[in-house]
Amino acid sequence: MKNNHWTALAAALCLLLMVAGCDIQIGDWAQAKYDRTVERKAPLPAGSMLVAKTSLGSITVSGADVTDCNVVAEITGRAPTEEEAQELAEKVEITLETVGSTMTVKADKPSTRHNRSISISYTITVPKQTHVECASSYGAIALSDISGNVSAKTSSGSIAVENIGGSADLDTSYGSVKCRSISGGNLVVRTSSGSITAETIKGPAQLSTSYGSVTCNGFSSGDITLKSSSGTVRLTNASFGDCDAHTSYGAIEAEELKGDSIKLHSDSGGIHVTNASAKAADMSTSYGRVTCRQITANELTARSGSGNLDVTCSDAAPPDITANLVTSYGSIEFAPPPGFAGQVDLSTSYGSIRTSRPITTSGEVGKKKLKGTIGEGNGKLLLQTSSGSINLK
Amino acid sequence: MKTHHLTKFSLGCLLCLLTFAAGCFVNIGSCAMQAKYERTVDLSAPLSPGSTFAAQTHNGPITVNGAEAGECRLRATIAARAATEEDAQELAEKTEITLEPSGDRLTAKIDQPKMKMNQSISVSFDVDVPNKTDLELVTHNGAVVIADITGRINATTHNGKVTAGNVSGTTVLETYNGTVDCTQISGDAQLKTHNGSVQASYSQAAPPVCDVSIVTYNGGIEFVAPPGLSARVEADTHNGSVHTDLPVTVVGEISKSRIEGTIGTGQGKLHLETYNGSIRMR
Repeated sequence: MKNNHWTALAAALCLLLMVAGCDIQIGDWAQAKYDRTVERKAPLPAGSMLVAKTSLGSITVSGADVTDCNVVAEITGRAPTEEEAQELAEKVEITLETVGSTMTVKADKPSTRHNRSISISYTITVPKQTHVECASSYGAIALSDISGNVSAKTSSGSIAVENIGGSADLDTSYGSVKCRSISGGNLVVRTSSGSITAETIKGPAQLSTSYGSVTCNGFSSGDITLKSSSGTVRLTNASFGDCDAHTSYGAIEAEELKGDSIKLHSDSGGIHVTNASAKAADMSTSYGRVTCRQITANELTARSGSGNLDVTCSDAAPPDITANLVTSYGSIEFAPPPGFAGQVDLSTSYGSIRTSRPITTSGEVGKKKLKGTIGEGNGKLLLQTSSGSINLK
Repeated sequence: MKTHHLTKFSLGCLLCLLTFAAGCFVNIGSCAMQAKYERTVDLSAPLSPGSTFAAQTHNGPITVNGAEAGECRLRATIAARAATEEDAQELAEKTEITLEPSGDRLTAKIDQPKMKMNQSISVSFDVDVPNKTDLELVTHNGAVVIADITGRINATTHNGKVTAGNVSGTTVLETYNGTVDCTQISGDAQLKTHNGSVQASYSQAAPPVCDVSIVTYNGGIEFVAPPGLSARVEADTHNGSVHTDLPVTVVGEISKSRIEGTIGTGQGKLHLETYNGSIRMR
C-alpha cells in the first residue's frame, strides 16, 4: 500500500519536470533573431499628416527643419532558426504611401506561424509642421519638436511627448505618459495603468489614469481636468479657466493656482493647497484633511466626511467672501480675509468654539453654537462640525 | 418572636411620646407669645434735598418714598409681643422712636427696653423724604421698599425682598434671603441676593453708560438695559443658560454658561453672575 503511494508521487514529479522542460524548450524555440534596417525617404510638404503604425515595436517621430520624411525602420525577425528569422525579416517591405495630404508608413509583412514574430520599430524625421498619428500595439512612442497636432496610441508602452505646437491626444493602456512643452491646443492623456507627468502645457488639458499618479507643472490657459482612480494628483504653477481634479484613492496637492474655478475632490485622501486664487474654490474629501494656505476666492467650500479643515485666506481675498467649511468628524480652523465683514454661523455638536474675531451675537448663548455678525458686510461664514472644535482666527 | 413584638411596641410608645411632646411644645410657644400690642408713632423733621436719611431696624420692613417736600415724615409702627397684653403694651409704650439730625444727616433711631425671654418688638418704618435724598437703610427681618429717589441708596436686609422703583444715582441693594426687584433705574447699581432672583429694569431715560453689578447665588437674573447701553459685559452662570436680546460682541472661547464681550462701545460695565439660575439680557 505504501509502495503504491510512493510510486504515484514519483510519477507526478516526473510529469511536472517533463512539463517544465517542455516549457523551457518552448521558450527556446524562437531564440534566433535577425535584424535589418530599412530607410525610406519621400518629400512631405509642411502641414501634411504622417501616419505610422506598428503591431510590435516602438515609434519615434521627431520634427526638424527638413522637407522630406525620413523613415528608418528596424525590422527584427524571430524564429526557431536564424535562416527562418532572416527570411521573415527580409520579406518585410516598408513603403511610404501618400494619399492627398496624408503620408502613411506601410509595412507589408509575411504571415507568421506559431513561435515566429516580426517587430518593426520606426525612427522618423519629419518637417516640423507635420501632423502625426502613430500607434503601436506593443511598444513605446516618442514624439518631439512638432508644431502640428499629434496623436499616439499604444496598448502597452510608455508615451513621451515634447515640444509640440499643436494639440496632443495620447493613449496607452499600460504605461506612463510624459508630456512637456505642449503649446498649441487641447491635451488629452489617457492611461489605464501608469503615471502621467505633464509640464509646461498651454491650452485645455484632460489627463486621466486608472492606476497611477498625475503630476502637472506649468499649465497656462484653458480648462484642466485631472483624474486618477488610484494615485496622487499634483498640480503646481497653473493658470486656467476651470480646474477639476479628482482622485478616488490618494491625496491632491496644489500650489500656485490661478483661475476662474478650482474643484478638487478626493474620495479618500487629503487635499493640500497653497497660494490659490479663483472666483470659486471647492475642495472636498470623504476621508482626509483639507489644508489651504493663502487662498483667494469669492466663494470657498471645504468639506470632509472625516478629517480636519485648516484654511487660511490670503490678504487679497475679498472681505465679503462666502465660505462654507463643513466636516463630520474633525476640527475646523479658519482664518478669513483680514477685513471680513458679514454673517457668521459656527456650530459643533461635540467640541468647543473659539473666535479671535469679535462676533456680535444675540439670543441663546451656547458653547455649541455661535451665530452673529462681524462688522457690517455681505460676507457669509458657515463653519460646521459634528465632532470637533472650531477656531475662527 | 416575643422580642420582636416587644421592639415594635417600644417604638410605638416612643412615637406617641414624641407626638405628645411636640404638641406641648407648640402649645408652649403659642401660649408664651400670644399677646400683641401695636402702636404707631408719627414724626417729622426738616430734611433739605441732598441730605442723608438713615434708618435701622431689626424686625420690620422699611418703606421710603421720595416726595416733593422739604421735610421727612416718618410713621413708625411698633408691634410688641409678650406673654400678656399688659406686658406687650408696656414694651410698645417703652419703645421710643426719634429723628435725630446731625449736619445734613437725619437718623431714625429706636430706643427699646430690654426684653425678657419670649418677648419681641418689631418696628417698621414708612417714610416720606425729599426726592433728592441719600438713603442708608438696614433691617434684618423685613422687606425694603424704595420709590422715587435720586441719590445714593444703600439698603440691606437679611430676610426679605428689596424693591426699588424710579430710583436714580447710585443704588446698592442687598438681601440674603429674598428677591431684588428694581424698575425704572437710572445710574449705577449693585444688586445682590444670596437666595432669590434679581430683576433690574432701566428706565428709557437712563443714560447709556453705567456700571451695573448683579449677583445672586440661587436665582435667575433678568436685566433690561437702558437704551443704547454701552458696556463691557460679563454674564456668568454655573447652572443655567445665558440669553441676550442685546447684541453682544464676543471674542475668545465661547461657553454655554459664560458670555464676555461688549455692548456698543463698551464704556460702562455690566456684571451679571449667578450660580444656579439663568441670565437674560434685554
